[in-house]
Amino acid sequence: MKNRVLVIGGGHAGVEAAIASAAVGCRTTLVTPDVSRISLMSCNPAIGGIAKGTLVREIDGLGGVAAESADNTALQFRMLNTKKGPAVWGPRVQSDVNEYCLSQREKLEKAGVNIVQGLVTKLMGPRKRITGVVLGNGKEINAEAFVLATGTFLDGMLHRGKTAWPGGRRGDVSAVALEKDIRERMFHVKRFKTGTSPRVLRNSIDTSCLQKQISHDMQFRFSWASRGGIKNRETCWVTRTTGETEEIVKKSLKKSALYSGRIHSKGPRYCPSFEDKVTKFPDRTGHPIHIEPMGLSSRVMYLNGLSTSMPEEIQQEIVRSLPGFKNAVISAYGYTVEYTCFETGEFEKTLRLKETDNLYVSGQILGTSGYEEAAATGLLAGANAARRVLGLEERIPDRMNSYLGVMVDDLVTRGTDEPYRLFSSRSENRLNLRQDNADRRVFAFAVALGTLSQKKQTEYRAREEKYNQLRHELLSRRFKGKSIQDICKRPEVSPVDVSELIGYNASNIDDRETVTTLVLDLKYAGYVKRAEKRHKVRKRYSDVSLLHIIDYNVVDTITIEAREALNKRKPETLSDAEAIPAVRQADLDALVLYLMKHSVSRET
Amino acid sequence: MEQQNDLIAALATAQAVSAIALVRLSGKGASAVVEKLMKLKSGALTGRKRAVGDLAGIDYLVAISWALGKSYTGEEMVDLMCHGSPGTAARVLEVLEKNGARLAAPGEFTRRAWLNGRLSSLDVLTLSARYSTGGQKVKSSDLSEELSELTSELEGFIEFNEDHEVSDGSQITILLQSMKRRAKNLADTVRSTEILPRIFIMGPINAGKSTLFNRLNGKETVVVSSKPGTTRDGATRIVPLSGRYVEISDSAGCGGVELDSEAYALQERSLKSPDRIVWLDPYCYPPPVKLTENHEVLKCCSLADKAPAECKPGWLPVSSVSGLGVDKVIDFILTADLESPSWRLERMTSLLEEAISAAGSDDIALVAEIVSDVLREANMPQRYGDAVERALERFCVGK
Repeated sequence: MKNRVLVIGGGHAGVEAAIASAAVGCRTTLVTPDVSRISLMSCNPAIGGIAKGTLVREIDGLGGVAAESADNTALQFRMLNTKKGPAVWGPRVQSDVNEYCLSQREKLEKAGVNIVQGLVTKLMGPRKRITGVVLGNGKEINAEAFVLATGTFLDGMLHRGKTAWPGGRRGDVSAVALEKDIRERMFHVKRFKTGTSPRVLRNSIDTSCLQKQISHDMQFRFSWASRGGIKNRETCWVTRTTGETEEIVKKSLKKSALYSGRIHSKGPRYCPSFEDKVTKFPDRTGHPIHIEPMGLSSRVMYLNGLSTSMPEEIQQEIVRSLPGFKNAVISAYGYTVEYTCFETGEFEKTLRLKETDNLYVSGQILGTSGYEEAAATGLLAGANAARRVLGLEERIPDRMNSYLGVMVDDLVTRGTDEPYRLFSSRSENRLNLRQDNADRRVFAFAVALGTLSQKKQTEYRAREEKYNQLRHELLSRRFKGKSIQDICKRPEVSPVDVSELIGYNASNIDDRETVTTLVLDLKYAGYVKRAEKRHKVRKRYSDVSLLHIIDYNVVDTITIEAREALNKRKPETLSDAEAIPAVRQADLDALVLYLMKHSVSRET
Repeated sequence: MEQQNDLIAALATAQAVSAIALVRLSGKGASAVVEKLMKLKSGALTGRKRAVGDLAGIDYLVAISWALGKSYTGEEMVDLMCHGSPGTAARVLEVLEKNGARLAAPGEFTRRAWLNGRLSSLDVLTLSARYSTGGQKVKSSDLSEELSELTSELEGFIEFNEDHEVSDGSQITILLQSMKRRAKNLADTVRSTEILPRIFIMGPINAGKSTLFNRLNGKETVVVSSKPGTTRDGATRIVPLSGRYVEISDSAGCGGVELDSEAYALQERSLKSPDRIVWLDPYCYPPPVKLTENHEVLKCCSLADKAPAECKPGWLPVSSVSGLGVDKVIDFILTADLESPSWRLERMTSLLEEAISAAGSDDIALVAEIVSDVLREANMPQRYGDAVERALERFCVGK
């Protein structure tokens, strides 16, 4: 059978892209330099977190596989932010890195994806319409559409202290030739960087003096396909940096690859290197460092929070200054990786490169950071590539319904000048974008996208029927003279209380979750409705033309920063202006006033 | 084309004999004009400066100049303090006019302050409400600044689990409580004097307008106040509805004899766009397009107790006798008041109350949502454009 979609890269984005493409109905091939490292977690051994965990559940609702693999390979589960409201609960699991790779590989095989080992060195065909790729061994693979999912591999350069060497990740090659080909094809690219922490041998740490962390006592699983909650299989620990740790970093800053002026690319502000933390908050000590096993009974522990590009001997000093780490042995040193990604404006919300017919991009080369962000964009790119091949309409997620929609919209309309990480506050509909209702929110889009199997659709519809039945029953009754909406708004009311009101026995985790969603939907309904209304009003901004403003320097009521950005971007409408990061609400208000003032002058 | 920063002047103090009168001059060239008239060196009144001397042989006076962007209007501005006889001030204004200034229109200084971003919309509204009473100085924009700081604190608290140092729920609660107190104080300050929303009961003659008017004034709503000056004729009352004050006018019916229709036309001319109209007609003939285009109109099929079957779709059956539909009329009237500053402040107060309760149950995401609602209430310029325009009309020069 003829290959129709080719996915370049076998990381978190590539795997979802290939599986989504196959689900839509295209024969799909995935090419990766090392088949044993498919979906390898290059950095911390964990999936989820605030907003990210919610995104994983959206992936599940869209027919992706990350959620199932995360459940199957979890070592422990924690729900972050439980003291900050159910809308921002962040499910997160520790994962067994090797098991995760195997699980993902199995999913690829089950989906019928053809896996090829090889390093892509060149694209074939004209820029507008790629026809195939050339591998390092000279072999050619043809296809009708392509998904680039190369992560940090495009001309990847690793840095530690004064040394730098090519590589997509520790122990991997760098896709130098492919990067050159992309530049020669005149796509606009930029360089980003990100870093990772040193790994330490488990038996060299004295955990007796450290704070233990085990699973939260709460039944949870990311995927509706998983049975039962995640069980605790491993322990993690927490230590804190001492003043000594910060001193070592301060006196050695010049030796860091980051601070010696060797790296100029932008790194993630919200997932900073330890050097950044010490420089930005010079008076703080006691930064928490989480000690996480790379796998079940793994002898290697990951030091979450200690990302660094210091020379090896300084890393050794830093690690040994931590309580419990006096005799620690580092098994792999931290480093910074610099890589090429695409400029904002190169791709559309379908994730297809604007000036091509059939080349899609996903994951870190969009300017994102994180496994979850990569997986979700991979799914979208893969599905749209397959849809394009089949002559179907490409699909765009709505930012009011999912974090995937928020992310894609942000990346395309706002752009990013540092690796983009999801936050709950990036959404204006946060009370609705919860982890518990992810499947409900994305179902319609999943069906439109064509990535959700018939079996999962049927299962979803059964859940929805149950939800609607319960909802109907609750809404049609009054409880001691009160409506169910009033009861749900009370802070102390729990889903269990509501189940008891109508004598509903939520016997398993799925039913309990359905009730939870129902209660939260009722509780937040008013706010969600208002947010949606505001969104519509904001859309009306798109009717207000700004084209007659030739030079924003005449609008002296807005900030200089906003004036510069507006002069550079020359937005067509007020809503385009709103999308520019440097333009804040106050600037928009001032712009509205300016427009009012000038329409007045014209009339009189 | 008239420039928006052309030179305007006005007497800013009362038109009466007093020790000092203040003439304000704002716009491009304000400093230069006074420098010339006082024979000062160029630049003597540029920026924040003061000069004492003779102005064009009229008076020996004090001139204070304000820097661009730092003055009340945000423009180049000079305050002239002359001796306080109306004649002196008039001559000062006259010479300023001869030298390129024009007399300011009502509210023009404040309008410029608003357009130049010196005052927020809520500031203008509260200012106009307090104009004659000289209430205590509370700036609502201080509140909005604090609110936006709180917003970023909350976001940091939510997103950065372990590392963020801010606060636990209890600190957030304390902050919210202090803000609530101040919003409430501000609401109380402006409530008594603010501009009231105006409702006109209109429709053909004999449609039952006066019956509805009396009903609204009547049993549930006793007249407690009739402010001098706001009552233009016997059929306008200030009425409290569900704790809110509104101005309701009964009007002459249209389509009547000559005298009636003249009265109707007069009424129609006095309408301003934010005014709302309750249109009564037992036969459901559509109201004039002129009204529906410019106003929010509630179409009511009156005398509904007599012939309920005749009510057309889109019309509200109302009977002032039986009380049918009157609650819906009151709802319509009350939503007209959404723009009043005290209502906004009261909404802010009750939203903050809601936020405090959410903070008490550890729902910080909900707190953040509500706080951003409060912030929107405080800042929204577009939606309140009409209300601000109305407030500006209220300012007068030479009070």
